[in-house]
Amino acid sequence: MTVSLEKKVLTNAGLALVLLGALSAVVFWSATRSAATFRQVDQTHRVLYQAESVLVDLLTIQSATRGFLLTGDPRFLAPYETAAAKIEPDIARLGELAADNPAHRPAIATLRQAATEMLALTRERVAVRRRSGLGAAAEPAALLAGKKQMDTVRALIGALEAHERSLLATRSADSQAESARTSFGVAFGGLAAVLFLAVAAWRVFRETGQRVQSEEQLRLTVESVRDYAIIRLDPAGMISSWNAGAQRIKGYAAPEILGRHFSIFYPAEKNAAGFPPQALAVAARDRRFEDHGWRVRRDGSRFWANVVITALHDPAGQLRGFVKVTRDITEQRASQLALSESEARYRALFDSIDEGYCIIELIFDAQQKPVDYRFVVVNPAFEHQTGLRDALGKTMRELAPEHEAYWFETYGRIVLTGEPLRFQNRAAQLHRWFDVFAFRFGDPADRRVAILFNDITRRKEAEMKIAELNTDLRRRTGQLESANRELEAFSYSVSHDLRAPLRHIDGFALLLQKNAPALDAKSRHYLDTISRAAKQMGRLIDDLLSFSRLSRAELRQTRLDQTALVESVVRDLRPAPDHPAVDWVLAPLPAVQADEAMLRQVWCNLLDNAVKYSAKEARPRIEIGGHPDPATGGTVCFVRDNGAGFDPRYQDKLFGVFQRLHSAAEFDGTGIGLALVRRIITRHGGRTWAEGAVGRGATFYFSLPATPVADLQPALPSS
Amino acid sequence: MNPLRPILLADDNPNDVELILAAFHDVNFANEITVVHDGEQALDYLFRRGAHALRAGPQPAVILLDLKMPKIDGREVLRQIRADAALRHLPVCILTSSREESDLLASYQLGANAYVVKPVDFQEFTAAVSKIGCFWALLNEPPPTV
Repeated sequence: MTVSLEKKVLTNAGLALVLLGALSAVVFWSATRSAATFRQVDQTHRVLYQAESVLVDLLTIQSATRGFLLTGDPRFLAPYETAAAKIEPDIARLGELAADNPAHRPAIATLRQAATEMLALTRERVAVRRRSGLGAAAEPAALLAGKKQMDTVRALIGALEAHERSLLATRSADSQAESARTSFGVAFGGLAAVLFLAVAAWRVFRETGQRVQSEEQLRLTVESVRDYAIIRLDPAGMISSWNAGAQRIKGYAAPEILGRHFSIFYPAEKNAAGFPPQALAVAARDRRFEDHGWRVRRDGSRFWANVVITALHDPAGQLRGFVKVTRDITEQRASQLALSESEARYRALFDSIDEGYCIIELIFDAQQKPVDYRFVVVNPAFEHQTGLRDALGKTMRELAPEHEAYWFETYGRIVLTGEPLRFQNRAAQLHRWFDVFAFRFGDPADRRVAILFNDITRRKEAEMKIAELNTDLRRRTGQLESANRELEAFSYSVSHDLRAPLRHIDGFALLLQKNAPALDAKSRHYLDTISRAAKQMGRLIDDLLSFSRLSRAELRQTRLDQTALVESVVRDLRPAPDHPAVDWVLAPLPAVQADEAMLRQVWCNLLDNAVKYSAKEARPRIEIGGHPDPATGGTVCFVRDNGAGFDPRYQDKLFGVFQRLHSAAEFDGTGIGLALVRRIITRHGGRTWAEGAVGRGATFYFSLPATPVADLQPALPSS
Repeated sequence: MNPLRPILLADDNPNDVELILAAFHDVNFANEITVVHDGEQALDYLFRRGAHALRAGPQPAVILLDLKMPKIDGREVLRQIRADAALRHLPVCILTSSREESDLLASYQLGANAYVVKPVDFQEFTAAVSKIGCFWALLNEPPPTV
């Protein structure tokens, strides 16, 4: 618009100037022409005057001659001589003046001749008069000749004058016409120039009006923009305009910020570094300065800004100020940061995961059958996972020509259906098993599949080994089960068939003793021994059977109040009749999760032992206690007696089946009790141990876990 | 009170039978003790058939029944007794060497009135047998229809 206005104004002014130039040219040309005309007119007047002079000279000569002839008075000869002397130069002068007109040359020549002849004739007459007097001199023929000469001269000069006068008239007319034209031209041209200038002025006026209006609109537009802070700074950086966006973004209202220095928007550290003036200097130098960074709002909060400072120069190149456009891009920055962060995370994942990751591009043959694929992305773990080096850009068949068709078909299906797939498969040529998760990647038309995979060769081998072992285990379990069934049948038979003969031995030995009262003491001792041995074997069998039964019974774990349980066991104990009174010390026991019958058996056996092995003490003391076990979170219980104790070297044997550290003569027993305790506690996931020394008592411990464990020895199916 | 009813002892082991009889003898047990050696004979006796088809007299006061016997075992005998309308209330005491839980459970499920494990110790054995005899044959009132 501005350009257009300037153009228009320049066009109009230019036209006016051209017109004025042309006008000047016309006037100049016209003036030149007029001068020429005047010169010519003047020349004509000079010619006319000169012709008159010549005529006057000739008339003077003639009249002087006549006067002398008549009077003979020499005084008439003075004018004659003056004229005669002048005539030749005057004619020459006339010739010069009329030289520009060739038409006059013959007339001038004739005139010169006529003058010469007239001079000659008059001189002759003067001479005649002097010699011969008046009569001879005033000879009519001579006078007539003189008259004829004079007429010729008059005619010549008359013609010349007439010609010159007509020339003068023409030239005057021309001059007048020229003058009129010039006047008209000047008047018209001037008028046109004025008109053009008026148009230009009108345009300028109108355009200026429009410009003011559009500038007002622009100002309003800028002021109402809310997304951008658009402000003007004077060359020193003082704020000179403020818009709605600036108020919204920076929080200042126009009145409080106008006239302040724009460095108020910068954080202290930026100001300390002299950043704002530098920004203006750069903008002034390069016309433009762009920057991203933190800015400070009125309330002190910060925002991330994009700032463009544009320098404003006037046409003379003088710096007039700056326009500063600021955008609040805090959110964009945050999302950009988040994006780059997630990208970095992805990159870190991609680079650091131990899993292989690649993207492949399927290659189909003419029948649309997938036959190969190319690696377009592989992660650093890829090589380690596959053993393939520099796979990127290569195809699978290039790397492993015998790669199974299965792989291509599987990935081809994923490309076609878009359904992700997890599978495990072997790649024979790579000598590896892979666990693969594959999914279509990107546009289906790209035929790309992303693959996350793991080399599971070792696991697979281990699995196969496990499967093999499992098979073996099943076989062995079968064997074990049948062995167990046999054992069960055996124990049934033991309970039935072995007990019966013992009963009979004992029974008949006793009957024999009764029926033979005459037997001597020795024989009775033998019969006693037979009975005792039979009974002992009966107890052994009973204990063995209960051990086997408890081992096979199913665990039924419940929450148990051990204190009550132990009290009940103590009540039911049947010490030997001669057993000294026991000093019981019962502390409250922690509750546990266990099979009640089995735990009762444990306490029964431990307390039975304690009573039995302290029988020889004067004051048997049995202490029962328990506490939580900080190591396992479970509980530990103990039974402590002050009895016979044991040799700690044989501690390991304590809990073995039929293992005894005391002779039957010392302490009666079968060697099953502690073995049973250990078996039960072990099945509960606990532990048993003992402390003691010979003659200084023993302490038996057992621990139970906080939470019940799966039965370590599930009951086998009964036959 | 009815006259002394017999006791039926079903046990295949002659030693046990002898010891049981000796035990009864020791305590001067007056009731007649009928001994059968397998389940089949026991059932024949109770149902008065086969060798016992002509048996007169009342049904026994109690049956001392061993579990492990040839031909028909004690469980089956018990099952048939409980299945029979006339014999279903007949007191049956299992007298066995087995402490097996499965045997105990099965016996009670079939309707045994008592379960006694034969002790190895002969004195205990005698005591047990005589107590059983006294209780069932003398103290216990048999069911009316038997």
